[in-house]
Amino acid sequence: MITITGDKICTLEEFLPGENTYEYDGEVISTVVGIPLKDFSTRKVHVKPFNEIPIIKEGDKVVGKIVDVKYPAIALVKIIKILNKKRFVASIPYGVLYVGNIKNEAIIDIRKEIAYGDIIIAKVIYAGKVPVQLATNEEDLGVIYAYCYNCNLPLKHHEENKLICENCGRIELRKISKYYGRGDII
Amino acid sequence: MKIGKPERMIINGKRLDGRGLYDLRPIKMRVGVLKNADGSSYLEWGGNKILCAVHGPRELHPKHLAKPDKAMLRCIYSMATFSVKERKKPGPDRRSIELSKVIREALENVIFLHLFPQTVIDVYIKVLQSDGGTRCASIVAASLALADAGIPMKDLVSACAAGKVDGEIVLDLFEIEDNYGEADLPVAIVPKTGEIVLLQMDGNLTKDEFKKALDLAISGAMKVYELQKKTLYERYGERYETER
Amino acid sequence: MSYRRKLCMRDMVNVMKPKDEILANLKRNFILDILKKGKRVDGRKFYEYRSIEVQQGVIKKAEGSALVKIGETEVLAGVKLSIGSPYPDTPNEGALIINTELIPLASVAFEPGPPDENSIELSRVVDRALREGEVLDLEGLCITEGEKVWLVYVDIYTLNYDGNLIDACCLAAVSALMDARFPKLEDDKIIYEEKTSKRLPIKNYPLEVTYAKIGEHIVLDPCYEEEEIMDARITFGIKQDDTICAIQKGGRGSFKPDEILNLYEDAVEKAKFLRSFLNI
Repeated sequence: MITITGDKICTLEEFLPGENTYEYDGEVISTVVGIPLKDFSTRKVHVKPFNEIPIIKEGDKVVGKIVDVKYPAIALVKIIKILNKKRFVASIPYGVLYVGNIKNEAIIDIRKEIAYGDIIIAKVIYAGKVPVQLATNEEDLGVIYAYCYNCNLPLKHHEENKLICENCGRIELRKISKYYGRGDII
Repeated sequence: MKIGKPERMIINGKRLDGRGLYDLRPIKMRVGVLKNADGSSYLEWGGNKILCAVHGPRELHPKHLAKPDKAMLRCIYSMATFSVKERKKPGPDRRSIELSKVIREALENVIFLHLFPQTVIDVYIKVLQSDGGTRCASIVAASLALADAGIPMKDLVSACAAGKVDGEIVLDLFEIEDNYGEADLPVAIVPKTGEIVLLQMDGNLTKDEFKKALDLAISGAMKVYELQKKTLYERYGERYETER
Repeated sequence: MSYRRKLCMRDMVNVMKPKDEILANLKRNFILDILKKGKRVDGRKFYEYRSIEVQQGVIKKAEGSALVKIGETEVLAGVKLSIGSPYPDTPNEGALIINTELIPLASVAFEPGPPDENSIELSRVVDRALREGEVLDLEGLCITEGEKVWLVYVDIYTLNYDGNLIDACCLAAVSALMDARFPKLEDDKIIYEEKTSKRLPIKNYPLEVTYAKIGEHIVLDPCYEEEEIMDARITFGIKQDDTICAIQKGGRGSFKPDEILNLYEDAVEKAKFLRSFLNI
């Protein structure tokens, strides 16, 4: 069973309109092309679209760029995309990363964990308001691409939480994802 | 008197392309034709060939244009240089800017724009070949592409033109009737509610003729609506079967 | 005039300066409340025009001109004639070229630079009514068939914007065309200083009547505040034999078929009323 835009799914007596539906003239109408899913516990009917518009939700993993680091506790992130989704994000794409959510150990200085211009993978832990709250306290989350402070060249993974610039030999500290330097997973 | 005007455009109840007065031209629709677009459609309506792509919702640049409470809809209607008899100059002209505006306003009526604040939805319509009635065909194609992109809408928008040729009210004018006929009345409706979201007219009609033409155009649009629905059912029915 | 004294409600809306979408929504609620009581912001009835003034011959250098005021809306139309060659598909017809511009002096909302879509729409809607309504007998503009014809340029400038430019521009264009006289023609040269008494070959008097839809309410001749927050707009071009020559629906709202047919009947009456200002 599929339903398309403007199709009647059921009457209002049977189910209440849920996601991607609206009520018109006592009927529940679908707003998208998709599969209607009836939720008997809430008496609501939702439509799961075939072509979903990505909206940032809690639990999503997102790829973002650090646009500002406010010492001592906050980094602002511009969200580029949701991991494994092809389409553009349809929400307001800003997130904030608090120092306590970067990793599970205590952090003395946020500047030793992330820096301006880093590309990170982060998890959305609260999406109730804009900007959304992000966290990187898991093994696969954290910085996946970073540049040298001196020569603006990409850094190579050195050991544990250290990155090295092959040009000038500078060593920088980051909370590194286990996918550091891999373009295939985004 | 215009040169090139055929002497009669309706002979024994048949029009120059062999149709009856109240017949639509053959219509073919496809959705999901472009890989890179979020939603796309291709429409052949008689001699009209129209390709439509939808991008977004996505972040709007420049940012100061973004609306705090809803998404912005941008619609660009353009004709290919070779789509008409004499080469059309590339780039927007006054006609295509006006058509873009009326098409956008017709589509804005059905899209739930407030679900995606501060973003933009782009609708690009390219007329590859034109044969009269492109604004109606464009709306039909655009609403299919929007549905293909998964953008929540009240209903599909459907459109059809009626007009007056040789003193008779006819449905769905083609190029010669459009150029030399007495009136042209493109209408776009939301079939669910019966509301008219696009209405333009040029030419001369009396009150009774106008009423008849309006009814005829609406009935034509309802026929087109059935075709739109069928297209989406076929395309997504297949996909549903394979995914299962 | 009589509306002057009742302007208090409108002034209240005007305090909130426009521009911002959110503020426009606030204004919308206020205006809707007034409409629900059966009134309008400037105290008019729903299907009533503001005071209309038509003044012909205001620009002496032009072949014909007219200044039209509908309430505070003010537009100036001028007619200039020149000689040119006809289009290849109509060798015995002259040409009528109509252009309308929204110039920044009319409103803070209009920007200088190339015309935006509102300006283009206005221009094309006015053009459509006059062209399809056959305001001029174009064959009467022929000098020698296939070689020389009169080209009639009508340029309309908006001087002050207070809503409903379409009706004002169309009225101004028709009255400027009625005011126009051919200049003297000597050996294919135009002597603009000397006007003959011959008038342009006017065939029809098409005029446009515009309604705005705000919520469920439909009002005639929207003023600036109403036009800013309206959902939809519909314009009818009506000729003197009550036939219809142009329609344009604008805005993201919608109309029901019945509403359109009812409005059409009302528009016929209103076009007659507008035509009374042309002294035909």
